[in-house]
Amino acid sequence: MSSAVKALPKDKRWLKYPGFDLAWNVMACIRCSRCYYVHTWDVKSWRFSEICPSLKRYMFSAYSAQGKMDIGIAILTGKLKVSQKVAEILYKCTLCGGCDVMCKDTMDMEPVKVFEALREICVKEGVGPLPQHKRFIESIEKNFNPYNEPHEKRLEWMPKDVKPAEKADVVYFVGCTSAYRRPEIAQATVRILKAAKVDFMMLHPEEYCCGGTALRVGVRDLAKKMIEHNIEAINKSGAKTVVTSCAGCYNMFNVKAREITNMKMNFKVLHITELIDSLIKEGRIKFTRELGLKVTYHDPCHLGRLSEPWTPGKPVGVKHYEIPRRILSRIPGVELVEMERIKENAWCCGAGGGVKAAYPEFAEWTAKERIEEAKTTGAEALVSSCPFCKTNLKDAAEDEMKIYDITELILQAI
Amino acid sequence: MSKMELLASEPIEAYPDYDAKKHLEIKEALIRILGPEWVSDEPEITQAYSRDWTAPGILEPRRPEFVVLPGSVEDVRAITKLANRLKFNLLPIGTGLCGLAGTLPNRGCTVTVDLAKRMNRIIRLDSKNMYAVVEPGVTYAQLHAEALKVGLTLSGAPEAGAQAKVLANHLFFALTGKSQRYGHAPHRILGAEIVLPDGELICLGSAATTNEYFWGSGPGPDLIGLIRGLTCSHGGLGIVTKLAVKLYPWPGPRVWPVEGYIPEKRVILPKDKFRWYLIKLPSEEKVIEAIYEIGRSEIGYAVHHFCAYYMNTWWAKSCEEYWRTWEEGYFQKLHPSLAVCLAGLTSPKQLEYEEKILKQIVEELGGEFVKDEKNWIEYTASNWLLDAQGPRMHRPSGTYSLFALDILDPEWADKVTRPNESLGDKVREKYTPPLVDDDHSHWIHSIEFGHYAVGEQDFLVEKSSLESVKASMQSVMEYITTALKEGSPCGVPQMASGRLNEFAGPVMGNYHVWLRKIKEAFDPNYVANPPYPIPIPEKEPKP
Repeated sequence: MSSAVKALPKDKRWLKYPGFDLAWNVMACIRCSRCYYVHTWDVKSWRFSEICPSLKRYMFSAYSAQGKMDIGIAILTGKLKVSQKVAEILYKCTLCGGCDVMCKDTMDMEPVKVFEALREICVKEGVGPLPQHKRFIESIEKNFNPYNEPHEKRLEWMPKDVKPAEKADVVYFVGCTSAYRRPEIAQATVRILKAAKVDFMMLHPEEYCCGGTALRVGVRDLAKKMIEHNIEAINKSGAKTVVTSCAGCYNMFNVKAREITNMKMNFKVLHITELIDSLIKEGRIKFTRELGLKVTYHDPCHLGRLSEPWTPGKPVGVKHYEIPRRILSRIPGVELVEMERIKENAWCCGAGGGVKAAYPEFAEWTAKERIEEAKTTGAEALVSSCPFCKTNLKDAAEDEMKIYDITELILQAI
Repeated sequence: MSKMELLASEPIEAYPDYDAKKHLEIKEALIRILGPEWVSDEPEITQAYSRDWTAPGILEPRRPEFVVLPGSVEDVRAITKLANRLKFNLLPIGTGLCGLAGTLPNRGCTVTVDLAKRMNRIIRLDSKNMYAVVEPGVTYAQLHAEALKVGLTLSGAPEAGAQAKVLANHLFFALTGKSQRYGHAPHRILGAEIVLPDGELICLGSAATTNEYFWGSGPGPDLIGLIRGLTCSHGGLGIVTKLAVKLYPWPGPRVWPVEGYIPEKRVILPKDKFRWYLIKLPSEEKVIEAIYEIGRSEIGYAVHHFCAYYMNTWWAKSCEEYWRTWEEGYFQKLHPSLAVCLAGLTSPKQLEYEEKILKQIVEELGGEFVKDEKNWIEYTASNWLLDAQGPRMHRPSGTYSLFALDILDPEWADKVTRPNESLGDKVREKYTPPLVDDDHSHWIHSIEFGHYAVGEQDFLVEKSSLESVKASMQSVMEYITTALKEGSPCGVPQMASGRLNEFAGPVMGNYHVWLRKIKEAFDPNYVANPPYPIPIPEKEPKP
């Protein structure tokens, strides 16, 4: 520092963000309440101005990011027991990162990592994960998926007319939710790859759960085990590229793996929308059918504001805000209209962070909020790019609105 | 981590004034009024109401015994009447970031009344008569978004940011970006609905007689002073449940014109309607002359004299960027300067006219227009018309504190905040380090065309250093006691909420005497957020 600077902070962590530290983060919270709302410059109406589903639903400030920071302060100082109520507050959070990005606009802080760390403390203290989570944790350990489905049926969705290669540069990592609950997304994905003449292979039987589910409910060891198994299997396969159609899997490989393992990944990871965007540019995907559909796009949290590692002072998720919109705008007869809360301001679908399993009523309430917002645009369909989002939004929408994964629309238009 | 760094509230049972039997009695009664869903005494919930944005160490965090979420004015009345009957304390909060302890429990039997969650509607937005009636939970950003749709605007948001609540902030102090033209927030208050400390409901302004909220004065002596003013009552004279505020014509876009992604968002306003200028002037005296001349010419939409610390902290997108730019000295080199926004409110021709006048003033005063090399205007200044980046002022060292925040005339405001000369600057200098380097902060904020101004001095405090936090407390106390001793208590009134009024009053016309009489008259049971606005000594619990 120059001699003109008389008195710098003594702790150098104020001069440059040192990386995540739980105590430092909770101490740094200034209780400004920016975490309650979408970015203040982007508020377009009173009705759709909040960012935090948990706070909006449960109202006491304890459910906000600020409140959870306070819980962290009290736990770390021994002034609060790690109780069932602490667990309830922490797990009634979709870990959507809305607060996280608003906080980062103001301070060098990482609220989502704070929540994850506090959930790990809940696990250590025996109040987490919640009973509903324990069932899928056991299933991951036994079946390598959280849905208690047999591992050998992981590829049952594969259409007969699609034959993956034995060996290829591209691996399609289908993920548990597409494989067992949203096969139409997996089927659309492989058909698009086939149409674009992309050789791809599947990892099965070596494809396990990505570990995201375990990590988000605080069971870090299992998450580490799962992601390390998958990395090793992909490295062994020799593939250069992994494609996911699940935003959660994408986030796990692209962001979280770097936080929980030192294993080197000899491959790059793409979300299917990134690959399709390139294939369109190369002319390998051509749209031939007009769909005649007015749609609005829902940014999945894990394929938006949580999709890239954070560097203080830099935006995150930027490419994933643009790519799906660019694709939709190229599909003949598709008119894209935007909701008020989009991109980093997107309202969560409500399914994440273990909420769908433990608090289904809250998950559905959150999704209904999104459906209400989508309806104000006049769109006939709500499109997303994550099987988890599709599931929860579909459960909430009933017959009020069509819900699509982007791969389904792309396939329809090819 | 040191203990200071993570100072947290003790469990309420640990305080000597905790009474378990009374606690249970209050709990049952509150649940009868609101239902169990909206009453909590769980420590996991109340912990979130134990601090404001002041660093632990300056204030001791303490949990309230209860947090309640009323849904209507009837709920607030019922809770207030109960407080009088069972003798407990009511602490109303909006956003809860205050910074002056007014939203923090300071004694047992405190019930925090979180008004922001269920009483958060915009009751009316009257585009014809240009005002809005809001409940306590409405934010500046929400109201602004709705006002823009009908071609209206607010006077900007306070330094705390547009997430702050319109209602509480108007009562408190609200220095907003466009005060040059639209004045100081408490003067923009129209009608109001208040639950007095005894539970009686009154309406003020035109709402007192017509149930319309268009005018701030009502029949007879105007009681609106109960709820606003420099010292602010912090709920000590009742809970405001509805407030009407003025809106103004907006010639700009109907949606706030934002580009980019967090944290690199920029606001691009149409250049034929809005223009910002950074003007470097030869001296502090010339800055003040410019403020007067701009005011006399009746031009300007926003007029501020900022220091480098403010400019940098609002602009920088990370700690690292802040300190790098600080080391470069980029913003320090701009000092002394003025940031001026002109607006073509009636037409682009108005803007051209105002620009011509501004250029003449700058030329006559020997100033120069500075090139905005770091896009400070797009990243920072333009958003001052809607929002403010005040929360970012914490980023470089964790927190900040202040003295000399006061309403004065511009010349006086300069005198009490001027670098190297003012009392505040000398005190700050004495305590730096362990206070953190900030280039002698000095903010003059012109209000109503320079009829008056706000002078403010903030300074950086290292939140993780007990030594620095203690120094901030000592410096503020030294500032206040010296200013009072010298009989020129600039900066004291706004900071002198609660107990400090007792010290400020004797050198400021003995206002504390009548303030105490008002508190005694309106709050006979001393339940409305004691000791605000001023303590009643005989009713204070023994330490």
